[in-house]
Amino acid sequence: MSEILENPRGGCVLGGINSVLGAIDRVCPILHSGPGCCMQTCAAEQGQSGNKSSSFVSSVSIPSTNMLEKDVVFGGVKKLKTTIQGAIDIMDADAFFILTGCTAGIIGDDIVSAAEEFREKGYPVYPIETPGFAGDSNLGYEVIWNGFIDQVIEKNVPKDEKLVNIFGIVPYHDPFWSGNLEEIARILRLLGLRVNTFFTEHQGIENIRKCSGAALNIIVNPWLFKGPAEKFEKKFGVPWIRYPGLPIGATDTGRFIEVVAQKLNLDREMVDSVIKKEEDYVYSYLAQSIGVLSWKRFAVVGDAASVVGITRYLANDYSFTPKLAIISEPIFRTEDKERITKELSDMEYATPPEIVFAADQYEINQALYEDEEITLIVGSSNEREAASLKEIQCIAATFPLKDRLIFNRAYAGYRGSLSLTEDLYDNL
Amino acid sequence: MGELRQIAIYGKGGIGKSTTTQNLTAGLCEHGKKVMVVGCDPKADSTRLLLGGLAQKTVLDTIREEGEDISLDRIMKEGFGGTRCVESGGPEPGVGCAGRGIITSINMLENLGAYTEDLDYVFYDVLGDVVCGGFAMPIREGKAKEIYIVASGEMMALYAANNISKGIQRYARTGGVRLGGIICNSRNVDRELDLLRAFAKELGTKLLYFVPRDNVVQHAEINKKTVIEYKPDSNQAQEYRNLAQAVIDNEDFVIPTPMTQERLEEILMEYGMMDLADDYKI
Repeated sequence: MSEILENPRGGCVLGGINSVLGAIDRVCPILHSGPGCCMQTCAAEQGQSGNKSSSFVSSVSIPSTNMLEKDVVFGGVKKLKTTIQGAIDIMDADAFFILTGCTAGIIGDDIVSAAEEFREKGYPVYPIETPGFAGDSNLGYEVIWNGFIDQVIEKNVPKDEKLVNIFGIVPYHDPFWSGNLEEIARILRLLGLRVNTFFTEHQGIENIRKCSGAALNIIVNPWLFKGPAEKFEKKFGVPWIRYPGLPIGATDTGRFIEVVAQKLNLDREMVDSVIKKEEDYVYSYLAQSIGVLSWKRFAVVGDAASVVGITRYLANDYSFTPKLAIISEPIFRTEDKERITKELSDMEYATPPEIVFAADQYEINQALYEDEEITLIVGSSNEREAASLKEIQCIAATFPLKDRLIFNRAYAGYRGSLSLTEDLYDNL
Repeated sequence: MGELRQIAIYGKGGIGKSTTTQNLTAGLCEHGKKVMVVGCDPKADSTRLLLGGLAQKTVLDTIREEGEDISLDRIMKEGFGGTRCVESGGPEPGVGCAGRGIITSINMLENLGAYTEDLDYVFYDVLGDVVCGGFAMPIREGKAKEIYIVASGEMMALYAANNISKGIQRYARTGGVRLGGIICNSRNVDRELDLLRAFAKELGTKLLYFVPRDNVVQHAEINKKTVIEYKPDSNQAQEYRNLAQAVIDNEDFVIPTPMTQERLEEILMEYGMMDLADDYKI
């Protein structure tokens, strides 16, 4: 990877944490940071994610200590405490999370004791002691879940054999998170399960507190959440499975259902009937548009889950030819790269695409320019330029997504695959 | 009146930087020089001997309690021989950032107009090692151009001096900061003078002055005075006057050439320190 990153996709740890907190109903982050972090951490994620952002608090409405020089020299804990008190007075939130900006992290302000003071008074105030500089927003997603596991999720919650938790779909980092979670939850409910998405249907901190009662943690992502999943299992005894990508379309969604069904020993007949019914729904529509869109050689650019999901759908279910798969996340574990490569190589009919791991926009563009055969790019808004220079079709479908409004549109699952297919016809 | 010389004094904690700086300042005063001493240590004891006690409220305490709208006389007191004394101070132990505090204090002094044209010398008495950017503040941004390192023949003192030289070398590349020499505050270690000379030479500088050990320094400290004020006729008072003269006359300013740990240990071996370690008796 190059030392200088052109167009980094996402922000710092706080960006990831804020994305998660912003997606949980009625929780309020409190930033112990310099002025600007609230806005920037939201701008880097929510601000580039289909023009949707958290409405409870976000960006400049997030309480912040706005540390200045005096707070740096003398320590900012006093100011933090007044900010927490102010937030409690004004915000009707179910929980408050103190986040540390770089400044507070460097001078080592003791946010844990500050939070404890308020907890002793009965206020749900939790410290997340990971400063912004610790890493990127992907890490932020794991950090905040580790924080929940350590501090929020309750032990000894009665087991619910039909309850599952969904992880790996990062709010705002996937612009289609709401719709994707809704569709995956819909499918799991057809299997008779109860589903914690945590971020949809006004689920809130209470779902998080009680999620240790689940029978299974389902990670819908090829690489994220390894640490938290293991920690969760160790502390609460909830096993986990990983579905290595976003399941899109009949082939992969069926495969997703099989993985879950097997782990939870679900009734075979019931599972088969669900799959049959859902496939019929999808195929009945696909049958009506056969031959409308000409065959494409395509490239997909984006986060690993989307690239795996979209590539596999277009190749397996739609018979397009995968040429190039560019993973724009900084994937650091070899096992994860291997898993992603396997998913992209092991397909029903198609020859595997060339797989490139590149987070830098220049490198991404170079890879796109070099492949002279592609006629379709499914990528982020950042790939529009390359597509326009190549004079080929481009669908903006991954983060960052700045030129579309996405409420509950889904690409995942059975119904999501129909939306994705519709979008392929959107700007011919 | 010549050009203002801004001098930073560094050295291992407890080596005698504050004592040396204040006695040196007293010596300069006797030469009719106008001196300001800025203590850059949260302990705020860099001007005690000049002021006759810890009579001084620090810059940071003042800012903390009274805000930033303060006048210069609230943070600067006049001490022995008309020296101007300032203590930067710091946050409470264990909180905040003392390094940034030094930057804040020095900026505050500049804003309040403490650096008047009649000054001949400004001394920055900086705590211990250069642990982070804040403590390097006096040698950054064109503040102190001259550095003296106080050391003795003890290994850790030389180790710290070598480390400090690395900091000076870093800022010398971009700024005008130079090492003026090593001041030995003697601990009566065997072959101390030879060792310090060899060490200074290896650093590319010189031993500016060898201040012998004398109990009168401790007596003067108990009486909250510099030796020059407490016992003006003593030999030690004359030593400090000589040190002041050496600083006045000094024209050798270099970019130091810090050595590797291996080379430092070689020099220590050469001058017998390592061999003697086993026979050490109190």
